[in-house]
Amino acid sequence: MHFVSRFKIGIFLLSLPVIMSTNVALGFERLNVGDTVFVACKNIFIHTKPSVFSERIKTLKFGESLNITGLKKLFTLPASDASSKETLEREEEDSAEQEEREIRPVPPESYTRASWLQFANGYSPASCFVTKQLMKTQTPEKVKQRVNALSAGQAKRNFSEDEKGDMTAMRGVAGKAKGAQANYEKVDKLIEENQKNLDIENFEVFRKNGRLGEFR
Amino acid sequence: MRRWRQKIVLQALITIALFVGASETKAQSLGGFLDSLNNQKPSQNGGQSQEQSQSPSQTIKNLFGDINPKSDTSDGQDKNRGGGFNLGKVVGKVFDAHHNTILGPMGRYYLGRKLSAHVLGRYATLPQSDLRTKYVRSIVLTLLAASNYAGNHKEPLVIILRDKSVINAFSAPGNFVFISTGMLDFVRNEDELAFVLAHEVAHVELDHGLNAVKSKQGTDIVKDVAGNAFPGLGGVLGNMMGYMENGFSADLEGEADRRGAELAAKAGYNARAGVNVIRRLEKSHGHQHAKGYPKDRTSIVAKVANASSQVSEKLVQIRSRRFDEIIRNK
Repeated sequence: MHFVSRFKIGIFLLSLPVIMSTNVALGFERLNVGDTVFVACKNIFIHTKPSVFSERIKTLKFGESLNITGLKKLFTLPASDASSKETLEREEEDSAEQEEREIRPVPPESYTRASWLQFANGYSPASCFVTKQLMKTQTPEKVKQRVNALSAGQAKRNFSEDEKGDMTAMRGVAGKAKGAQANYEKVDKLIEENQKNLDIENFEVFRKNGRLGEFR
Repeated sequence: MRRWRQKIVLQALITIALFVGASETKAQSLGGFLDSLNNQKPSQNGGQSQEQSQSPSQTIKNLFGDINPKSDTSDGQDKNRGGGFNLGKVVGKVFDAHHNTILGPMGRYYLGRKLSAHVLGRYATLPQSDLRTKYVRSIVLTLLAASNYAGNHKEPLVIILRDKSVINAFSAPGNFVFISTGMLDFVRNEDELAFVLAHEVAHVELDHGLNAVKSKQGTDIVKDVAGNAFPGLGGVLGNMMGYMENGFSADLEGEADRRGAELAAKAGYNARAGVNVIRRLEKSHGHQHAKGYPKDRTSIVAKVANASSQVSEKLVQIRSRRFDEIIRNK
């Protein structure tokens, strides 16, 4: 093999782990006190306490910006996350070995996230807030482009023609999900019906009778 | 710290690649390329955002395309001379895989909607106004309230698939939760049903859907590299990648079982119900559980149940009664 070709393959193989680990956390962006964040959900409220069952003070609008004053209900990222404690410790061990130095402890803030954010007037679930950079991508056109690109990658590999490929992101409790020709009309109709059938009062009765949620 | 180190290494690699032969590479591509890596700041060239500029693979193809001395030859000639290994294309694919899985709340919702549209093309469903749908939805919302994913782009959508021959439940990013009427017949009470649904909510909370896509794309790309660059080893590496894929799935399923049991317990359900339902599922779906699921599912759930506060049998029975009324129509 030509020297340059081998050299290129070498560069690629060396860079692959670095590229694959250059990961903005998939599910949970790291947000800090003082950060300005943006609402990326359609139905989200400011609550009196960090709980969805607490009183709703204000409805937030999509795209609205707020400043974080506190992080509540911190949790440790799951092992499968690229920023989990396990992954970061493994990376630190590798770095320490390569650099011939002592292993440094991984700071907890690297692998913990807040499930609720505190703002000046109350609390809201963190999963609805994104940074300014990610907010730029939160338009139907841009997200559809990315989602379609994911499917297109699979289509090239002859997966999207049957149920297998497009169902990669969906696994059941008892096996792989099966799909078919997409029916967007039906899903949109169900989404609309779902909005009409929201019943907050009955939901509270359900929890109360079953001693669930705040009534447990 | 970690990100800075990665940036330095990546920049060094790019510099080497450019030095080797990218004499015709346009310097302006570098700004967009680095922006796509750190995904933090707008592009330096012309103030365009990452979204407005070229896709990562396009930029990388620009960067790496010229380093192949045979880049001006046809595909067929490439294969004859260099084993068909196109560095720019492969690195581009890796970046595309990374870039396209950063979706945010709206992107997850659209991905879930797309996946759901495929499911709905196959199955008939119960209406959203059906008592059973409302009941299952209440359980899902109770579980979500206990999760770290209490906020969603739009209201979570729970869909009951009208198929008694299928015993399954599944979920998609953006909180789309499906359960078949076959599974509703299979579970014996609300606490068992809650565990099944909690397993699905856990997949959503832990972003397993996107992880699976990313993992699948990553392994597909490596398979491509193995097949093209090392034709003799392609099959072996391909098998290894297949093994890695299945192992990874089992890890994710184990994680969803553990987290599902935690969520069920946190919401007030008896997590031990999960042990019962998994045992029966393993009996009826034995062959399916041989691949893609951890071997010790019951012990994973039992461990969580033992650590959780006990739920009285009386409470389980109260919930069981409404389950019988709504689901069994008794």
